Amino acid sequence: MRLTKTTMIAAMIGAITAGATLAETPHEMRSAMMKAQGKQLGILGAMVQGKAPYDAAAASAAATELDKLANADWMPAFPADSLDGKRAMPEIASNMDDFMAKYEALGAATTALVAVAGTDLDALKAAFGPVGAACGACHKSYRAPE
Amino acid sequence: MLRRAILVLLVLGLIGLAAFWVITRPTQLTPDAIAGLTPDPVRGEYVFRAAGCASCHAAKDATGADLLKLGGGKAFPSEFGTFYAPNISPDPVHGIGNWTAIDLVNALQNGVGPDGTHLYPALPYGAYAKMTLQDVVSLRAYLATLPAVDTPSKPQDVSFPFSIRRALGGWKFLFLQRDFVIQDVPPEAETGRYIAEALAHCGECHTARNALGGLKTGQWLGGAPNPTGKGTIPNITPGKLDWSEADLVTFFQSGFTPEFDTAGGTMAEVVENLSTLPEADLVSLARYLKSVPAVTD
Repeated sequence: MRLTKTTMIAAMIGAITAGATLAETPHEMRSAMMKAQGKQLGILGAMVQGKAPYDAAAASAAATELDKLANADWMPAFPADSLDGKRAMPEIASNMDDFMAKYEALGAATTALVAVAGTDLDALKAAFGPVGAACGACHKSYRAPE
Repeated sequence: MLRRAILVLLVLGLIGLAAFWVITRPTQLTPDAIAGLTPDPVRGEYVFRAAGCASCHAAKDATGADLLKLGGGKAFPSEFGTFYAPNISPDPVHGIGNWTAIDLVNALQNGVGPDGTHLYPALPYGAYAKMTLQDVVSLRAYLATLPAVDTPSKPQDVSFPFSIRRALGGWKFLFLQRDFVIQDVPPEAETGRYIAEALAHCGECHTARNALGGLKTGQWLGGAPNPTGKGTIPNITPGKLDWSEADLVTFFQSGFTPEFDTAGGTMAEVVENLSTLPEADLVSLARYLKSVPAVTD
């Protein structure tokens, strides 16, 4: 059942890409994508921060989910006319190459995480840091305050 | 009768002018204020990080070693005009290589340049005025170790009447406060208060301002409109922020919120700086935030 939300969002993004119309605004899509990733990060982060015991299977599953979300096609959620600074900044459109590079850096970091999340806690910790850094790098440049 | 009225007006006018002259006069300390203080560049580096000097004075999007090249140039649009961070690298021509320690004290604590002119409070001297002289002297020693950059500083692009620098003396008279804003904090929050109020200048963004740009200290850290764009800088008093002390420390160290969102915008830069401080100091900072008066929206 953990897959449900991820699958829904992936399907939603897929549907938009295919040209179907949905009621969700780009803002709502972005918000849903970010929350879905935050949920998986929360499972992994709790282990990394020592708030939950390390569980190789759960870590692997969460990393796999996160990787799927991070590597989905985000572009339908970031059309230029939706970038109004609440909270996605208009600078995304004028720096699309940099935005894409940051998006791809996140995807690469989550893929690296999947490879080691089930190995042991130290490996998870080492691969989790770059994921957080990738989130932060993009938020630093392109997300306005609430 | 008329002559008398004119005389009274003249006298009042002269008193007003004299008051303006006195109030707006730049005040500077002389070198004997710091005589006997021995600079500690290691402490200076701590001050440099906690105060976030590089976040404004390094080039836009600088990372790694480039964060130590303080050539300035970053633009800060505001409702009063656009401020440009000046070159504060040790370059003797374009930077501050020729400044003495007391010059840095006067800039950071009195908002006055070595030529005796007022500096704009885009440089948060309202916070730095709360620093110890020892820390300024140590910061001066650390800054001198950084690479020189020969980029000329850009002139400030500020509209009338804010372009009259002399009037900044009036601004300081009204708003420059050298005492800590929060007077009563538990002993274990004192280091945190020093970081928050004197160095990291949290209040500059997290506290609302009046029409003249003075901080509304009665709503300290109670949130404010984003000074550089849309949205709101959040209320971080116990009236709104319910994170635990451990949550706060995790955030300062990693940028992760308890919901595993990550810090963005200028707060991401603040986290880059804070995460270099010792954990005990970040615990004290968290304790300080838990002990400031609650501001409710």
